[in-house]
Amino acid sequence: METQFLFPYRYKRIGWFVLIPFFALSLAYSITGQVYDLPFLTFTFQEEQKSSLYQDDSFLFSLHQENFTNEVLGIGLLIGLILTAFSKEKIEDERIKHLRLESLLWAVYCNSLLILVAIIFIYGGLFMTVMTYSMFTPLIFFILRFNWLLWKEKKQSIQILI
Amino acid sequence: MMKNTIRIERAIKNITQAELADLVKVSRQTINAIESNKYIPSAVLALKIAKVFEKKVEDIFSLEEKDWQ
Repeated sequence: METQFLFPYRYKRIGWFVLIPFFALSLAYSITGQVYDLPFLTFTFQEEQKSSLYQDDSFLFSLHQENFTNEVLGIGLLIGLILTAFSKEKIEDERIKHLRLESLLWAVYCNSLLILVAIIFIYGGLFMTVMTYSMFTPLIFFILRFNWLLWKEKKQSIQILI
Repeated sequence: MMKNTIRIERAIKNITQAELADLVKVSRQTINAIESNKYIPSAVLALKIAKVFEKKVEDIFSLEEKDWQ
């Protein structure tokens, strides 16, 4: 049985190579705020005046600066997560697929529970932060759970051999 | 849960879990999980395993009372 929507095994390693640096950078970025905005990712746009509210601006066009550090980090992190999570194992047999599905279910439950707690206990700006994190947490939970299960099994079967 | 005699059949044929895994193209952990009744193989995998041992599926895998509940 062929699974259609998984990447080949070799992408798993690429996934880890992308994921680890981007995860570390994203974590640092989200903890420190925008201290680490990379200057070369700042672009300046000419923006047309949107409404008369801004008419104290004497220019016809106002200049608008946007830094793309968070966008780049988000894209890198997501690509790393997807490749790590959804690349085939070396031997992707039916039971591994079963474990994959179970882990995915577990990850979605976990994430929903966290969001539930956040809805009840967290308000305002902080809630938006939690929502931002929850764009990535389902995949993070899945990767942790799935790899933990595989690791646990590997360890067990080595013990049987000994 | 459905039980099986893979461990005995392996002993008769004198092959290891790893060798059987290679023959039916699954991981060794999967064979181990099936032997210890932690995982029920698909029909295809059960047929493949039976083929390796040159037996009928029913001779290797059998239902238990619990499977009917």
